[in-house]
Amino acid sequence: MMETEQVWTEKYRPRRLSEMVDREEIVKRLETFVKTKNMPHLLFVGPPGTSKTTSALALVYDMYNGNVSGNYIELNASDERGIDVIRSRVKEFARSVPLGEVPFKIIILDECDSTTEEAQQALRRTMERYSNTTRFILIANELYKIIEPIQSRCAVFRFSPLPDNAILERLKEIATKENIKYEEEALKMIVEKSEGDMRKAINFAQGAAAIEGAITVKSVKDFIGYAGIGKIDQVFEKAFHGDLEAAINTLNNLLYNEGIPPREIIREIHKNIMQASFSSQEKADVVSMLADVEYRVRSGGDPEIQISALLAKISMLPSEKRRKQS
Amino acid sequence: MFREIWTTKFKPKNWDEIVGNEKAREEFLNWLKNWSPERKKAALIYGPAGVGKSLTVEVAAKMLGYNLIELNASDTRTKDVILEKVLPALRSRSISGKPNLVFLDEVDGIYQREDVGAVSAIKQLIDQAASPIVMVANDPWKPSLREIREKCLMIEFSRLRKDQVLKRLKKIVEEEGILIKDEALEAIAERSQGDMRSALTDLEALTSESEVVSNGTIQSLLGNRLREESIFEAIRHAIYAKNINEARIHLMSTNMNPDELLDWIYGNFPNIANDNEKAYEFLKVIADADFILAIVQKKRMWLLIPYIYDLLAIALMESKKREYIKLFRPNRVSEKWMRISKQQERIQKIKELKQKYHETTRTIVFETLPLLNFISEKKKDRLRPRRK
Repeated sequence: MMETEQVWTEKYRPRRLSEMVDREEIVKRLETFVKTKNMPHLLFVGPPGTSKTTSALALVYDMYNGNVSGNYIELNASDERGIDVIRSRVKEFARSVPLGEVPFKIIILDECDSTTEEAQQALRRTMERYSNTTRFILIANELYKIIEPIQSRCAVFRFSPLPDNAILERLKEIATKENIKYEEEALKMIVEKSEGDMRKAINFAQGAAAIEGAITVKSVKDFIGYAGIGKIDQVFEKAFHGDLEAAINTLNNLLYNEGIPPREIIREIHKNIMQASFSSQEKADVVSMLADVEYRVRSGGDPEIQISALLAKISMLPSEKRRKQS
Repeated sequence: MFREIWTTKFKPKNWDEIVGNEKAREEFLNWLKNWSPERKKAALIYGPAGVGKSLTVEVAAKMLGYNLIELNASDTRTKDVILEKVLPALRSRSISGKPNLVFLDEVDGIYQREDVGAVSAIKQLIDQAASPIVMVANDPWKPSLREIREKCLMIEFSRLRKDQVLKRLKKIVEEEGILIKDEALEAIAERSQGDMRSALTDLEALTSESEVVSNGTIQSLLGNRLREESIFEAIRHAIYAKNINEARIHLMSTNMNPDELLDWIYGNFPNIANDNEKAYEFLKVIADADFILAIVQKKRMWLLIPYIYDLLAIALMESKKREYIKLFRPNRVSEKWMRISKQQERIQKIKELKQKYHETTRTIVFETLPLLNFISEKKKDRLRPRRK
């Protein structure tokens, strides 16, 4: 039932390179590939919502002139089944000849920076082995997390946050197409809150519009309060204020009811720790425990038990502080 | 909707409804009727769980018109509490004019170091008492209770016979109009090992599961129940063990896989650890055990299993609480399979959305799903007629 709702980010995702918003430099280079019907392996790097996947999909679309099916696959490097599955899928995919005038197929591999170095080494060999029939578009948020040998085999494209006016224009365009009224102030607020992340901006707009059928300052505030990652912040907050049981209950809710991946929870707790009013020594202690927790969870440790122990540590720190003061 | 659990719902209200242990109950009743300060002033009723020990005291008190002053293991039974709360009452009649009967439940749950001076306070209580005192225990032979034992009339309750349990179950099933095969009732009675409470709980669990009770469900549910008791016992023994080796032996005696045992112990941490500092020490060790377990499972390094028991034993021993520790079947254990299947469902859904929207897990979880949920919530709001 939920899925019947069309998500605007998908509905208004540019199909062709010529429809892309901003990103002129990148589009120009990608269009050259289309013209010459050739391209190297590509590596798209940049923060979320900066058109990486859209560019990759649009490039594929233009490259095959809309005749995309069977000519490309999208894989996710961080998928739990790991690099072996990717390798076998690549192998299978690369075996057949592409349809159309282009002599290669394209593999879009997302979240490359969330894999281990080992997995990246394996990926590198896979890329080499099949490069005569397939080209890779690797997508990552951070370049430093990609090993050198992969970087050196790819043409690197850097995607920066979108300028405010580009997002504002895009929001207005979508609102007009959707026939939804908006307050100028509300859109500006969305732009400000989304920090150059186009996807976030469009999601905010759609959420806000769902409330009263119009994008108003109030509806924007309402939606932003609802969405986001505030729930994980609560886990930290509760532990920080010493209410360990409540923190663990909230954690369980996130893990088992909301189905939030443990890795994301750990990531958010990390952000919270860095901003919290711990002393440097305490921060160092908690962060090294956090690193351990992340390692353990990735090695198959139980997320609830491991994160609970971390929360217990956080929950007793402030009291320790108080004791020192008195 | 509030619903009484069956052990409460079908609790006997009068003497004749109580099942079994007739001679022992008679002995208790006679002692109470003929109570005098010249004879044994206190009685200690002991025996396994679920055979009607506390029930006998409660029903007898009502029948003979006593005012029951109860202090059980969940109250903190320090010397002060006993002497301040109970002693004054013992010296006088109650406001209602009824004579008093002091009832100390679960006295074997008193641990010398934790319930400071409780044993000597009870002794004092008996010496000064002008009313009868009755105590109940599963295991009265603990060294700490020696001095109390000497001052008590010891009354032993034994396990109920299978036919006694069965008769009671059949009566309830008839009254409730439950469709259940005789073999199933037999199996429940058999498994209860003379523990009426567990038999009732099993019957309730089975009949609320589904209308038709199959043998398979009985096996799985009852299998769990029997073990549950022994798990609690083992954990508790480990907590109060003299040394780590003893604690470890208790844990190993459960014959449980280390991962299950870990779930039970971890899930009870709020009952075991007092404050956040203790909780941290406890959880840290449990988390270490969990990590070793992960390595054991992943790398098949069975050699490491003993260390898991070591850590669990250490965690339990180091986190002693003052009072008697109540343990529960943790949600983590009961909901494990449900959670796993739910999680699988979630992962599947995220995967579908990822493909549909060309997004990463992170985006789906933090942006797309909340957005979709929000929109469908709002839609429902709008469809609902507005009242003014």
